[in-house]
Amino acid sequence: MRVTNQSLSAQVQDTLQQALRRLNETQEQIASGKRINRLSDDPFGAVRALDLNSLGASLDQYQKNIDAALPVLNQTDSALGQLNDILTRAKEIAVQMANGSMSAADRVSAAAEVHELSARLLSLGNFRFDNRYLFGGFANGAAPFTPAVGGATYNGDSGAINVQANRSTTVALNIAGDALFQGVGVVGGTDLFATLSDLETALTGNNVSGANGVTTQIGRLDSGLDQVSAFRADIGARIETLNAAHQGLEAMQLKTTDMRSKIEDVDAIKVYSDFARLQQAFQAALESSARVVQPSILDFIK
Amino acid sequence: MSILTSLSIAARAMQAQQEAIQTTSHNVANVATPGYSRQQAVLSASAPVLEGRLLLGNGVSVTTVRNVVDRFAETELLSRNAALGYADARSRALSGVQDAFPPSGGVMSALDAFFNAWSALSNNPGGQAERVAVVNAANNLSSQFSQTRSLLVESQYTLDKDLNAAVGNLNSLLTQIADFNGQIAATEASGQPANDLRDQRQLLLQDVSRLTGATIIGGEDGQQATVLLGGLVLVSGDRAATVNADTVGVSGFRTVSYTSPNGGLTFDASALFSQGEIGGILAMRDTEVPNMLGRLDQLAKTVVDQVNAQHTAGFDLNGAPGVNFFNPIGAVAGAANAMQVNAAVAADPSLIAAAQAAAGAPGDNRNALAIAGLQNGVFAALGNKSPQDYYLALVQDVGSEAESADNQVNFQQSLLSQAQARRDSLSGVSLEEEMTKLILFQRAFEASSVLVRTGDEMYQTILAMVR
Repeated sequence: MRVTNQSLSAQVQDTLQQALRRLNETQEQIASGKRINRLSDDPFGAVRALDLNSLGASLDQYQKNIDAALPVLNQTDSALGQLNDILTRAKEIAVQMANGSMSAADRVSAAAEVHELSARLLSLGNFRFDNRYLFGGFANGAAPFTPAVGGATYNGDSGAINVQANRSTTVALNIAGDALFQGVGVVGGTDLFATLSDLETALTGNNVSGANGVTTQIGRLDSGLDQVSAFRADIGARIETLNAAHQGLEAMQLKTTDMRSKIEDVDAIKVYSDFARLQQAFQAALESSARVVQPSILDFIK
Repeated sequence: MSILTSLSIAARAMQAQQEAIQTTSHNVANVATPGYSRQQAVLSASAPVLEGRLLLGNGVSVTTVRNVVDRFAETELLSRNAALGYADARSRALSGVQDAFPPSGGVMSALDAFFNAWSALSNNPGGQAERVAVVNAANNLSSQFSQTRSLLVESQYTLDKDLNAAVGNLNSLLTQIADFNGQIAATEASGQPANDLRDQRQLLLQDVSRLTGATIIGGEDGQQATVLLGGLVLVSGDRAATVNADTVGVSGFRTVSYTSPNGGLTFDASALFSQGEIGGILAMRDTEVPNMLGRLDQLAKTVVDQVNAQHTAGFDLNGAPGVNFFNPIGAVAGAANAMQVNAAVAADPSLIAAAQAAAGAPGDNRNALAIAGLQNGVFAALGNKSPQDYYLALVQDVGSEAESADNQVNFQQSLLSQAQARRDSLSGVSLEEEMTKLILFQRAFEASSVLVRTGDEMYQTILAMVR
């Protein structure tokens, strides 16, 4: 091939231009710290990064959901603890008062304590946390229980407020009050309000072993305690589920961040060594160009 | 008589060497002139004369000065220019277009934030702050959609301006080529090639081809040269067609208006420009960017439709049936610009229908969960993809297009360089070669002058004989 001065100079320009462009690309990566500065740098990587970013945002939201749900469930658990205390105390009184050595007067004064316990039970049923009634189902904006003759009336509903703990798991953060306190929908369920009310009536009327007497209430209190502890076990399991989900999310979040960084961020060692290499290449291109372009036959014909 | 012949041979030789040296000078002077092809003084031995029984040589003359051109290399350059022009226009446009789809943030983050706001609302469906946050996230989503859309539309208007400039440029090139055609025809009527004029015309043709992919036919042996784009005559001999982009078509963008060289025919020739820079500009402006806009609009409309459908299936904080969360959008076209939160909902976030039942229970979060779940739903309108996946597919396509357009530019650039190198290897000026020839011609000139002196001395000798 015949080589001419113009093609030589065009080729030198091409070579230098290419070297300079690669140098510039690498420099941009170093300056921004990002491997992908625009989509065309790596469309597949950019889309992966966007996707991981979106996944990260979801994981964040799931964690926030769990963070919001856990205090509610912990409060519920402690409320169930108090509920257990109330029932245990009521049973103690009932067992004590069922003893034949107790007088009618003793029983009347015990009835007063049971009355107190009933009031505590009601306020527990209307327990509020963060401006929400925990035992009202969906209708958690108003007190779910109002006192009635021989027990209490439930104004709430049986709604389960589910929260998203991860993409596939939802956990209810409430127990409907009618199930917990009145045994609605529970096999062999016990109405705790009615039981305490009946106990109070039996004690006042000095009715130990008659119909609906103190002895009968001891049996109901036992099944009531079972009912409460079954729900408490359920709450414990839900807290456990959420904690496990939280840990899972954290691990996933770490992995996501790591993967994103691998896609988006420059590998410092690689990019700096690339830069050094390209600089050298550019230098070499400059020098060789200078030597190719310089000499001419004119230097030799004088 | 033969001394006189020798003298005249020497004189004509000196003349020929001078002409050759002048051609060499012309080559050296134009070593850096773009599009210049080197010229050769064609030296040939003059017709011999029969003197007595001898056929004696009769010296040298320059029969013509021709330029060294390979028609194939020239044609290849034209088509490489057309391909590079097309790739270049697309790459420039796409590098602007891809800014509408940033590698982080943008519509994607806004979609995430919007659906996550519904998830947050489900934690506390009665909460005013959570409801306001949903409205804010929706406002942000609609502004991201309209921003992305307006960036794309902006790129169409930039392309429109580019088209206007390119067509204006083309029109002036066509006029110049027609002028050259006229001059070449006039000059070559004398029988000698108009080398320099042809070179300059070829350079203009390269520009025309870069813009349109047009080719030239004819122009040899007194034929009329015609510049053709497909079947469209751009230049016919010394008359050029008139093109302009002054007319704005129904799409709101400029069209390429064409008037034939004889002025007899005027029409919208946009559809015929499918190559070169103008072809690339039109393809981006009228096909590729509208396709992206369509997909963005489809996404916006689907999000609005789906959220509204789910929202109206639920009940608000007061137990009333849900109203439309977004203002409903009728047509897909322009949807990304039309997404807007229902003013009533924005003014009173208690109208957000987080509940599934009409009871007005503040804890009922089922509809909020359902709307948050839409982000994982797949919709027929989105080709059975979820909203985010549909958007990612769009981004992937834009990115791949931009990447391949860049690669295409580099590829076409290197093909053009190779074609240019092939052309230069034949037609380019080599100083070494010219200097070598110069020495040769100079020596030949010197030698011819020695011939004159020798002839002169021979005359002196003869004259001395008779004195």
